[in-house]
Amino acid sequence: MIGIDCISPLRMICLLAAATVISACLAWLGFDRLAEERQRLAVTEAMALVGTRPRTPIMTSNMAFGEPGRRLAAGRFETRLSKAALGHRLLVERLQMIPAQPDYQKLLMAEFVVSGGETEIKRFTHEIERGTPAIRFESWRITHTATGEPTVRIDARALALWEAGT
Amino acid sequence: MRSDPVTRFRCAALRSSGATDIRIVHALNADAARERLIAAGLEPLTIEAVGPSLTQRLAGRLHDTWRHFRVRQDQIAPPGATADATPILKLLLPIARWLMAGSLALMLGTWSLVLITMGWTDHVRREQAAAIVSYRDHVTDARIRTLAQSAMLAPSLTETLGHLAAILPAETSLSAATRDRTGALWIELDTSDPDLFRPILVDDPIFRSMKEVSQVQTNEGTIRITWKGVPR
Repeated sequence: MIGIDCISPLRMICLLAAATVISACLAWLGFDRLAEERQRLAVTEAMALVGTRPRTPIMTSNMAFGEPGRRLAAGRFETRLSKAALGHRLLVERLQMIPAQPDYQKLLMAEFVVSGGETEIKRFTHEIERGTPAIRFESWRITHTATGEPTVRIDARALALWEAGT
Repeated sequence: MRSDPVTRFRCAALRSSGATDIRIVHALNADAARERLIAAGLEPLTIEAVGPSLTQRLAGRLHDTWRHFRVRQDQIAPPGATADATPILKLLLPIARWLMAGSLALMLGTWSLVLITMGWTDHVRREQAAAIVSYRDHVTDARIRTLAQSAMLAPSLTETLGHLAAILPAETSLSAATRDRTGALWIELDTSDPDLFRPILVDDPIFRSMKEVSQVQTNEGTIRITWKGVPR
C-alpha cells in the first residue's frame, strides 16, 4: 500500500481539491433532496391535520338525497324527474342515469329529453328546481320542435347530491 | 520505441492447390518465418520483413509517454519529499485539508438530515394513516361542493326563461336557448327588427355581458340573432 507521505504536496492538493469539489456537489444534491423531503413531510403533516377534522355535510339539511344507499337515492332522483314530467303531460323521450365516477359517488346525474307545451315545460322545470332535495340543470338546451308550434323540447343534464343520513 | 520491432514478415506462398496466398507471419527472423510456412503446408515464394503494426506502434508510443511522465514525477517529487515542498505548497496543504473536511462534513450532514426527514415522514404516514385516508375524503367532498355550488348558484333554467320572457318585446320570439357545462349561455332569437331588441339586452343587468355572435335570415323572413355570454 502506498503511504500518504509518498504523495507529493502538489498531488495531495490536487486530490484534496477534487475531493472537495465532489463533496460540495454531493452536498448540493443533498440540499435539493432535503428541500423535497421537507416539502413532502409538510404536506403529509398538513394532510394528517386536515384529516383529523370532522367532515361537514356538503349541503344543508334536506337539500341532498339522504337515502342510506346510493342506488336508492338514484332511484328516487330518477322517479322524481319522470313523475314530474308525466305529471305535466310531457313526453319523456329519454331519461338515463349517468354512472358515477369513483371520486364522485355523491353526485347523482341524469340526462333526459322531454317535450311538450311551453307552459307545461316551464311548470316542469319550476317544480324540479324549486323542490327539495335540490335538483339543478347543469347544462340544457331548449328548442321549439318546429317553427311556429308551441311545442318545445328540453334536452338537459340534471344534477343532485346524495349524502346518506342527511 | 522497442529496439527490434521487425518481427513481422509479409510472405507470399503457394498452396498445394497451386493458388497464391499472402500471409503476415510473426517470427524472429526470415528462416523461422519460412519454417512456419512450410509447417503450415505452404511453399514460400517471397519473405519480406515489414515494420511493426499500427497497434504495436501506438502501444509503444503510450508506453514511452508513461515512462517519461514517471521519470519527471520522480525528479519533481521523489518519495518522502513532503519536507522539501515549497512554502506556498506548505501553506496551501492545510487549507485544502480544511476545505475538504468542511465540504465532507457538509455533505454528510445534509444527507443525514435527508434520511432523518424521510424516516419522520414515514413515521407520520404510519401513525396518521386513518387521518390521511380521511383527508382524501375531505378533498373529494371539497371538489363535489365546488361543482354543486357552481350548479346551484348559477341562474336556474326557470329563472333564465322567465327573465327572457319578461324582457322580450312582442315582435321577438325565443327560438332556442342553450347553457353548457361551463355556464355559458347561447340565446337564439327570431325578430323582424334586431334594433328593437339590442338595447334591451345591453341594458339588462343579467344579460349585459352577452355579445351578439351571429345574424342570419330565416325562411320566414325574420332575422335570427345569436347572443353568447355568461349571465350574472
